[in-house]
Amino acid sequence: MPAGQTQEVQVMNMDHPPPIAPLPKPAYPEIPEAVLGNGLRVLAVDDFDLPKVSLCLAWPTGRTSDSGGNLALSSLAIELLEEGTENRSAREIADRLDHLAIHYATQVRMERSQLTLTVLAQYLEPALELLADLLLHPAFPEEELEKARSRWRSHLLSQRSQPAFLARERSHAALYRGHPYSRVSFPVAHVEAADRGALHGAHQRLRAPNGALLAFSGAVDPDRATRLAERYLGCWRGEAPPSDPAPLPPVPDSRRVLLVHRPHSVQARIVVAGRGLRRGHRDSTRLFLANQVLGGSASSRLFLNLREDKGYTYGAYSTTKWYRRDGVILIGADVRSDVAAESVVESLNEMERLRREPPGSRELNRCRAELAGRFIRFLETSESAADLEVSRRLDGLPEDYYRNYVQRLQRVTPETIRETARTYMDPDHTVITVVADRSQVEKDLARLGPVSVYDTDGNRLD
Amino acid sequence: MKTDADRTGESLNIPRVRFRQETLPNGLQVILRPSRRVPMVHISLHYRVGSSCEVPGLSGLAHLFEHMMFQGSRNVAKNDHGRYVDEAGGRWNATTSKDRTAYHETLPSNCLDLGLWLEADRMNSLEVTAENFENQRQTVIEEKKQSYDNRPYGRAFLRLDALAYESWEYAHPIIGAVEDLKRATLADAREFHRTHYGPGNAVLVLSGDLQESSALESIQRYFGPIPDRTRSVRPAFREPSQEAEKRETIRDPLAVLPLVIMGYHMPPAGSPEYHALSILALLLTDGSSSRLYRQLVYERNWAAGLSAGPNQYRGPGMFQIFLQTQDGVPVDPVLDLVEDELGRLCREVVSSQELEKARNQLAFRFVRRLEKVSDVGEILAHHSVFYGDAGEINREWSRYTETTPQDILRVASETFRPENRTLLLVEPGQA
Repeated sequence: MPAGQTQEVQVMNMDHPPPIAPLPKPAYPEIPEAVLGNGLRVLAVDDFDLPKVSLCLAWPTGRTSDSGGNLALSSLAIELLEEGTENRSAREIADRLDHLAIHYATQVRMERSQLTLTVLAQYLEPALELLADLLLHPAFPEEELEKARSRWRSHLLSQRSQPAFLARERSHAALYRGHPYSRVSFPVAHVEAADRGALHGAHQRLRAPNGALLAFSGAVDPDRATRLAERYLGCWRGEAPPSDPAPLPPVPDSRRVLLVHRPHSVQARIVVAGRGLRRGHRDSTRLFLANQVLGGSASSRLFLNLREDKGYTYGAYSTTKWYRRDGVILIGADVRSDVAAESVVESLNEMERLRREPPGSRELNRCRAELAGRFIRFLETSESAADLEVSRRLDGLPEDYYRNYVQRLQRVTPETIRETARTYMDPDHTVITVVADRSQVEKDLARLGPVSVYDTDGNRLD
Repeated sequence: MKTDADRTGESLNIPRVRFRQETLPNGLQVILRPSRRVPMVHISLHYRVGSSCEVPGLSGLAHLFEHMMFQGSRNVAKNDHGRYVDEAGGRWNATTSKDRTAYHETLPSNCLDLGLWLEADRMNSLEVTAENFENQRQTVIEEKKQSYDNRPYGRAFLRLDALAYESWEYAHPIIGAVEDLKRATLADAREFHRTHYGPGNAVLVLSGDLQESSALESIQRYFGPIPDRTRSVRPAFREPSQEAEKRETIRDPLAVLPLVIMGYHMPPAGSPEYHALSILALLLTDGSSSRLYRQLVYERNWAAGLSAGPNQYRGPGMFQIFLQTQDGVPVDPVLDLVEDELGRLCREVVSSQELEKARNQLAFRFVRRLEKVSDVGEILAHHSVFYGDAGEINREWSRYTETTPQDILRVASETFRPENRTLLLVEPGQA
C-alpha cells in the first residue's frame, strides 16, 4: 500500500473487500435456423422487452474476396446499394430510410461483409420491403457512383492522417506480403477505376443468397421472421462461386523495424505485431487468455508497465485478430516520442517474461474473469447474441463454440499460458512499426535493428 | 385496407423507466432501477464537479483528479480499484466533463457490495503518493497529445470553446493547459477532494439486477457513515449576449481536409430551446435526407463529413455545426449555403412531414437507449445532476413531442443570428 497522508474518517467494516462471488453462468440463447429455397439461412433471437427489431444480413465475403485486381469493388458495391434501385432514386431511398428512422449501415471486414438495420418494431415490414428492393434491384447509377468516388477520395486521404491506420497498414503489409490478409484499405486508383458493370458483377458474385445469413433479433418470433424473410427475400436468386483461398506466406523469419514518417507528429504510435492463430484453432482459447495476461485490459502487464509505472502513455494494450485461416497479435500504444524505442523494448520484454514464467493463479483468474464477464455483458442485447451466432456459422465453428466458451477458459492453466506464449508469441518474429516524425525517433530506433523508413503513402524513403 | 408496408405515422410508445429515489441523511442522493435482463448491475457515481469548477492557473485539475481516484484510498492500493473489479468480471471507467465527474462499474450482481465498498472508500479517503501523482501528471500530458495535439483538428476542437465563451469556466479545456498541469501539486489534489468529493455533492445510481431493499441496506452500510464535508459551489456563469460574430482561421499541419466549425450561443441543456434545437439538428444533418446533407452531399458533393447539435453543458449552451469539405472545394460557397439553409429555418415553418420524421428518429433513440442497464443508469445519473430530478427520463419524450413548429421557428430565429455566431475555419498546412 502506498505511503501518504490520509483524510478518512472511520467507516465500519471497510478494511477488507467484500468477497468476490463466482461469476453467474451466461445464458446463451437457443437460436433456431431456417433455410429458404434460395439457400438463405434465417436466424432469430426473440426479445420482446423493447419495441424494436434488428436485422443483420451477412456474407462470408470481405476484403479478401475482391478479385480481378480492383480491391475497392466489395466496398463500393455494398455502399452503393442505397444510392438507387430500378424502382427508387437515391433521394427516395434516403427519404424512406430517414422517415421510418431506419438505422441502416453497411460494413466490409476482412472476410465478412454485412448490411445491418435496426428499426422500431412497427416499421419492420416497410424496412424489409426496402431492403429487398436494395438487394434485388440495385441500379448503381453513374451519377451516384461519381459522388461516391469523390467521398472515397476524401476518406482515403483522411485515413492517411491517422497514426493508428498507418501503423495497421504497414504491419499487415509486412506480415502478409501481398496475401489478401495484408488488405486493410485500397488505393484511390481502384475507386477511380470502378465502373457500373464491375459493381453489378461484384454484387452478383459477392452478395448471393446462398451462403448468406439473415439474423433477426428483437421483437419478432422465429416463425414470423422466417415468414417475413420468405415473403420479401424468397425470390432473391444468385449463386456464390466457390472461393479459392491464396496460400499463406511464411511467418517473418526475423524481426523487422519499420518507421512511417508522419511530419509534425508530437507523439509516436508503436505497434508490435506477430502472426497468431486462425479462429477456432485448438489453441485459440489459450492464446486469447495469454493475450489477456499480456495486454488485454488496464490491469494487464503492458498497461501497468508503460502507463502506471513509467508514465510513457495514456494507454497500452494488446489485441488479437482472428481470421478464417490465420490471425494476428498486436501490441499498440501512443507514447512520448523520446521513449518510443524504450516502449518497444519494454513491450518485447513483457512478451519474453510471458514465455519465461507462468502467470500467478490470481492473475490468471482475473484474466479469465475479465473475458467471461465481457462475454456475459455482450449477451445483454439480442443483437449482440445474433452477431455472435452469425460469426460462428459463417466461420463454420462448432455448435457449442460459444455455449462452452467460459468452461474452456476455466481449463487453461498457468503453465499452458507459458507454453502458448513460447509457441505463438516470439519477439524474434515480430514486425515493429513506429509512426512518428522521423527526426524525433529514428536515431533511437536504430538500437532495435535496421530501420526501414516509409512515407505516409507507403513509399520507401531510405 | 392498409397493408403492413403502409403503417407509418402510428403513435409511438416509449416504455417508462421505473426507479426509486432516496436521499441519505448525509446528503447522498440514491437512485435504484431494477431490471432483471442480465445478472449484472451498473453502479454510477456522479460528482457535481467538472472543469468549470476549477480556478484560473489550475486548469485540468478536475480531470487530473479523476486519475487520482485510481491511485489509492485508505483500504485500496494504487491500481487495485480496477483489479478488484476485473477479478469479479466487471468493467470500470471514469469521465470528466465541464460540469461533472462520473465513475462507474458494471459488475455481476452478486458483487454489488464490492463496487459499493470501492466507491465508498475513495469517496471517504484519498491516499496518493507524490510519486503516483507525478506519474499521472505525465499520463495526462500524454493523453492530451493522443486525444488532441497529435490528432487532425484536435487543437481546433479545444479552440472553439475558448473563442466562443467569455466565461472562463467553459472557455478553458477540460484536459487543461500543460503549464497548469505542471503547476498542480499533490496538496491541490487533496484540497480538491476535500472540497468536492463527499456524499452531499454526489448522486449514486444502481441499475440492473438488484433487490431494492437489500441494495439500499448495502448503500447505507457503506456510504451512510461518511460525513459530508464538501464546500462545492456551482460556478456562476456570466456569459454576456454576443454582439458581433467571432471568426478565426487556424492552420493544422496534421489535417488533410478543411474543416468549418460554427457555434451559436443558446440556453442550457434541458431548456425548451434545447429541445427545439435538438429537433433542428435532426432536420439539418441527421440522415441522408436531412437538409444540409442533401444540399452539401447529394446535390453539390461539397462535404466529406457533417454533423450538428447542441453541446451537453449544464450552463450556457452552444449549437455546433461541424463540416469537413471535400478536397479542393472553396469554403465561401459552403458557408453561403449553410447560412441560406439556417435563414430558411428562421423564416419558414417546418412541414408536418419533416417533423414526423424527426419524431420517428427521436422515438428510435429513446427506445434504443433503454437496451443496456449501463446506459439507463448513466441517463438517470445525468438527469439527476443536470436537472435535479431523474424523473426527467420519463418526461423528456413529451418535451420533444410538445415542441411545435412555431416553437422551432422562434428558436431558430433567436439562435441563428449572424452576430451570435462563432466561426472557426481550419485549413490544412503549417502554421
